[in-house]
Amino acid sequence: MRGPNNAASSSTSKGGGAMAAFKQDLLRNLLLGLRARTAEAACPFDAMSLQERKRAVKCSADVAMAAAAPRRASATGGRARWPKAILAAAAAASSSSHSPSGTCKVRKSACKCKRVARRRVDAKRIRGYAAASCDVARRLVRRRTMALRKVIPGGNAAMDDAALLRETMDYVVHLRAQVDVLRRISAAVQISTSLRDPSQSMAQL
Amino acid sequence: MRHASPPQELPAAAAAASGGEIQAALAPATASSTAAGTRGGGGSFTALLGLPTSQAMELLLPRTAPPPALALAPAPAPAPAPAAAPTPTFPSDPHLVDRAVRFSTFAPPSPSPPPPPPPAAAAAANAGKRKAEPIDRASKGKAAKKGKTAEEKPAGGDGDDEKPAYVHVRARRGQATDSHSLAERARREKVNARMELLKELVPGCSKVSGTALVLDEIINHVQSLQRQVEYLSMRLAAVNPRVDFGGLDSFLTTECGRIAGFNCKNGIDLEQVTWPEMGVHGARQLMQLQQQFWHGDLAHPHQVASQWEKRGDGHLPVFSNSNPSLFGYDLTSSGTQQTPATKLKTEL
Repeated sequence: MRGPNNAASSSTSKGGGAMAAFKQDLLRNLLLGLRARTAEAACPFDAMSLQERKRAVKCSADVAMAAAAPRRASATGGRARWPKAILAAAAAASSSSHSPSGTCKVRKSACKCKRVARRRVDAKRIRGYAAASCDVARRLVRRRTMALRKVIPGGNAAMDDAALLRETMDYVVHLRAQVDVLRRISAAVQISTSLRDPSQSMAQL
Repeated sequence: MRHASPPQELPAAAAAASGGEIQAALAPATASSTAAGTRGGGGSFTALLGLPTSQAMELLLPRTAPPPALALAPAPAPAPAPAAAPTPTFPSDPHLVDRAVRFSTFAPPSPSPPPPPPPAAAAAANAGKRKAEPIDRASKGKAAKKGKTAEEKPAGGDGDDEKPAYVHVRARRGQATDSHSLAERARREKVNARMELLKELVPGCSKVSGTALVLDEIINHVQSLQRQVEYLSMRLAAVNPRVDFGGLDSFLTTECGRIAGFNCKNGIDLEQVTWPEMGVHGARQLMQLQQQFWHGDLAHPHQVASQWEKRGDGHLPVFSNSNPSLFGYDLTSSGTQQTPATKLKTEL
């Protein structure tokens, strides 16, 4: 990812003209959210532990993404549901006094899904009856669909498979943009801090 | 899905795009409807009848005489190879009108449908179609079973989740034609189409075949993206104690961005100052800035970097030789920072 070519491509737009506006909105929302969070929170940013800070940043990023998403969706038509789910979860989390809900859930659910899948398959083998291949395939697909629902925010709502896949597509696209924005921010911040203290040898992550 | 069944068994029974000859023998209206179906387009209505417009109107207007409908049957020559109907509505409308004609005794006759507005006819005929449905299915079912090929017409307006009033699907060769399986097949087609899109979206899915594995890949991809977000947010959090986000407030809330006075450094272009005001000033200036930044105009970089500095300390260090980049990865300084990140990312 070096060289002026990449520079040109990355400079023309922050990753695709279609998503450029979204990324800008995301960035703005993120910065605003972080500022609001640190300003109004009882504990200033410096006082929070690393985990808390990370959680704060991540929640802000997710909320920023969810808040910035509808601007695109309303233009093209057909809103996705995951932004509302994220915002609802964030609202619930904030109202319940900062319980660590958001970040841990994803990992736990992911582990659970895989575990469930594995356990079921073993149980089947133990029982030793031969199911039709198509039934097995269908069961696997259904299991994975359930796992996907757990991963996608708002996937547990009543949605048929087609709608779920559409949500997934939308969510993946926006997640990629979010990752891109976060990467740029962190790179820029690191550069700025390194430049601010050129003499000190900072621990570069 | 009763409501979705009528149009299904209509074209299903009609079947016979290319096997037109056989169809004409089997069912009176099927041949005409298939001809109409294959031709599609605006002229389908008259093409359906194979008669000039006036005669077609004549035949349709009374609408109480099955014999005219039967007379329609042998008229059109067997259709040429089925052309993919551009819009599902058009081919179906002559079907609907035709059916309204044929089953006029059972269904309330639709008001005179002029050929030009087929949708109107379709809308009116739809009401009649429902009532004619049970009778249709019996006869159409037989015709379909005897029928050979059929075109597959995707559900109209795919891409959004709204359910159109009728799903226009035709039975495939050798497949069941009752309404449930047709609806099921339509649903499956929708799901498969979206799976295709997802396969393109998620890297590494194109080789994998089979729904379960593709879903596995998608889940892994989504989880990896979420983990990346967490990792990056941790990075930001690690650096953060030095960065005061409160300083951003002045940038982000000021509309005109005339906070140059807020900056200690003079001579800062408003263009650079407006970089944070992306939502206000739009992408254009941002791109200008970036292009200036990258296309050789290295006088600005230190000013750009200074934007970040202001937030932190409110004072601006002066740089002479360094090239900070906000958006690029390819500078050596940022590159070194970036590669560990990417390495870690790939390990995740």
